[in-house]
Amino acid sequence: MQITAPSPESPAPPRSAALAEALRRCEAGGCAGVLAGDGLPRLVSALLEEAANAGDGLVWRPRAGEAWLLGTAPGAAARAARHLERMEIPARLLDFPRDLPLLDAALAEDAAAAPARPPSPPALGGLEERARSRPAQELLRLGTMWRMEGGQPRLLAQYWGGIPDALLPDTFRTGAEADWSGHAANLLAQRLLAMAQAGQWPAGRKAGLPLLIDMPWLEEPPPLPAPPPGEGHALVLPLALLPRLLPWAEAARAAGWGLAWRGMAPALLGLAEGDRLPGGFILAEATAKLAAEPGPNPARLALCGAPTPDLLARSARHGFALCHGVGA
Amino acid sequence: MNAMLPPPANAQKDTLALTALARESVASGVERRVLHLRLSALPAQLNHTHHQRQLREALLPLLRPTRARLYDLPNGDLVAVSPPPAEHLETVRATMLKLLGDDPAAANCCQELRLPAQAAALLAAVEGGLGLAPPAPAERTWMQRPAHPPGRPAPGQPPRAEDVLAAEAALAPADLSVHQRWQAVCLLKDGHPEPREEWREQRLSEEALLEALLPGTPLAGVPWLRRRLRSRMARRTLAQWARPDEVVGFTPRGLALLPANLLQDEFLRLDAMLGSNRAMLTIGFTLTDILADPEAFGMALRFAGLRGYRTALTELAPEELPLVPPDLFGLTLLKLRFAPGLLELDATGRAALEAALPSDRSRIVLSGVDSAVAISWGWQRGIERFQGRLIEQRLSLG
Repeated sequence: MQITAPSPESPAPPRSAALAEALRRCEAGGCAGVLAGDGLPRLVSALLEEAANAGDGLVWRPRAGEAWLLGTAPGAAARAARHLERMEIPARLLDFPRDLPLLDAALAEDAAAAPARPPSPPALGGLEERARSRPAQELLRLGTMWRMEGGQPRLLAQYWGGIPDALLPDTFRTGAEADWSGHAANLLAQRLLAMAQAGQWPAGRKAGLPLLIDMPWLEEPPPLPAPPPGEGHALVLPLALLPRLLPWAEAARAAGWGLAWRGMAPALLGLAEGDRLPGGFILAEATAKLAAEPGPNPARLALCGAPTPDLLARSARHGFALCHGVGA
Repeated sequence: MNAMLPPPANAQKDTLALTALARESVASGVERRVLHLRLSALPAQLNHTHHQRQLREALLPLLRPTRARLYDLPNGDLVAVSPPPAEHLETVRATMLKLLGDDPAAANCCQELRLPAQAAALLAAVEGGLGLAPPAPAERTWMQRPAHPPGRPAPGQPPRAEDVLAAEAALAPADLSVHQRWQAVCLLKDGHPEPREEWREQRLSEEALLEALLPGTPLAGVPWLRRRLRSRMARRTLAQWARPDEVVGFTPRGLALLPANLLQDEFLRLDAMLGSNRAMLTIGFTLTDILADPEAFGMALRFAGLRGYRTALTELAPEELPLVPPDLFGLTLLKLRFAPGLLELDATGRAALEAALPSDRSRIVLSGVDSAVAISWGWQRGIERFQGRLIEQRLSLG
């Protein structure tokens, strides 16, 4: 509980001596810096701190979240920018005094920003209970899978999956907390499985389309329900189940399901080659990188996300499918 | 030290300080008396900001002339800590009860603890203060206890998120050394009986440690929670290795990590300390860990490449070999686990296996080598790096 909330009009905290000194150096000119985005803060800080130590600079993190390397030797700044680029983290090399206006704007914005409030306490307690008891329509979605063909969208399948973010507190939705996201997704897949076992299929299902349904990460396949009437239905397995492919493939075949996969990312596209991942669709979160380089087997790839014009164009060019309404 | 009233903005810092104090007290055996004022648990009619402020104003003068130190928790609770005998804490407690009147709820809002004996209870209180304890359902009054407090899941049931958070907290101060052991990776050439040690790997008895943390709790159905605990364990080892005295005598070594570990503070600290010694570290990832979090794996691989660490696909079972692309996902080494079944492969099976092995055999380590048969199987395939019980025996004899 907040006892004495800082009032919004409280003045900005005084600048530290180190920041003031770095700003003075930037104003004097002849030094460089780097501006990095707000992703992967720890890694970015580590790389920038290294450059700051080598080039006598300072790392400044305004409340907006991005990271600035200030007042450092040009060589050290260029090396840090190169390292960030190799890590595929967006970064911009700064040259002072040329980029002073940019820095001044960020300083002014930071001074005007609301005082940082402590993050709301995480509330993971009761996660399992919420996954079981919250209304299905808040946690589960029926997504649509389709592809552009001859300028027209063609429906391919429907994908019944969970929305882990609907279950998690804000602070646990970031990439750094992948384990909680995975746990939440697993709990929701268990709920989907239980519904399927009870013969409950999602409202809004189109009889002519194959249904893809998320499966939980379980080493041994559970008793599987028979699929609803129709052709081409598939169980969507997390990639982590690949080492358990044999028992799962056997159980799915016996119950009348095909296989699909979820959780693909650029680093693992080699798996899409040959028959390492038997089955149909390979679902992945739509990212610019995957859309630009969809790997050796784009026809099996389905990128989940909002269908932006860029994504549509790339889907038409490379032939990967799109899925919206539910993530992968 | 005089008592002072830090603004609640200090609560995060205070929480850390309090945790450190509890650990130090356990480590050094120095006694402390603790009074936990659970303001967050006050009955609703007394739980308003102005009540809390009044309570603080009444309590502070009592503490100021003493050596007590006051800590804020993020949930609004206060913790006063003092060296014994700490009669003034009793005064504070009496005052608090007087202020709150006859409400039986009030008695439960003052909890006395002794350090180091009750450090676990204090850490649990701190954890509660961070909001990690399960929130009370609306129908439960503040006095009732949950049926299964965090850290103790119902017997035979998989752990819940809060149980794992509690287990993580328990893991933080635990001594892992009994669960850690070193095993060498050796170069052993055909015709040269002496194995030459190339690096040593630290292995953790994960099963034993998990059983100690969450006894009798099945983790098979909650793979992500299990990963979380494994990640914590790896972070403990990394923190240990980043200590200055360890870094000074850093020898070639290896460790299995989860991809996400490379993006966390403990690894980044070690990375900064290692400098030019980075090539001495071989980082292993298991196939399942790579598949479960490919985004983090991509970042980890790029970072390892940037910094010059060696990487390995570790503990790969022979039957998993066909699943792995020929480029080993871009990893340096393949650590293949020997299995007796390899000796029984027919000609087709042998050919398939040979085709799936990286053609550069110097990238392969055969692990789980318990018998001479395993070594000769490796030699037949041009493999000259081995790890296992037999190698350890030969090293100790040599």
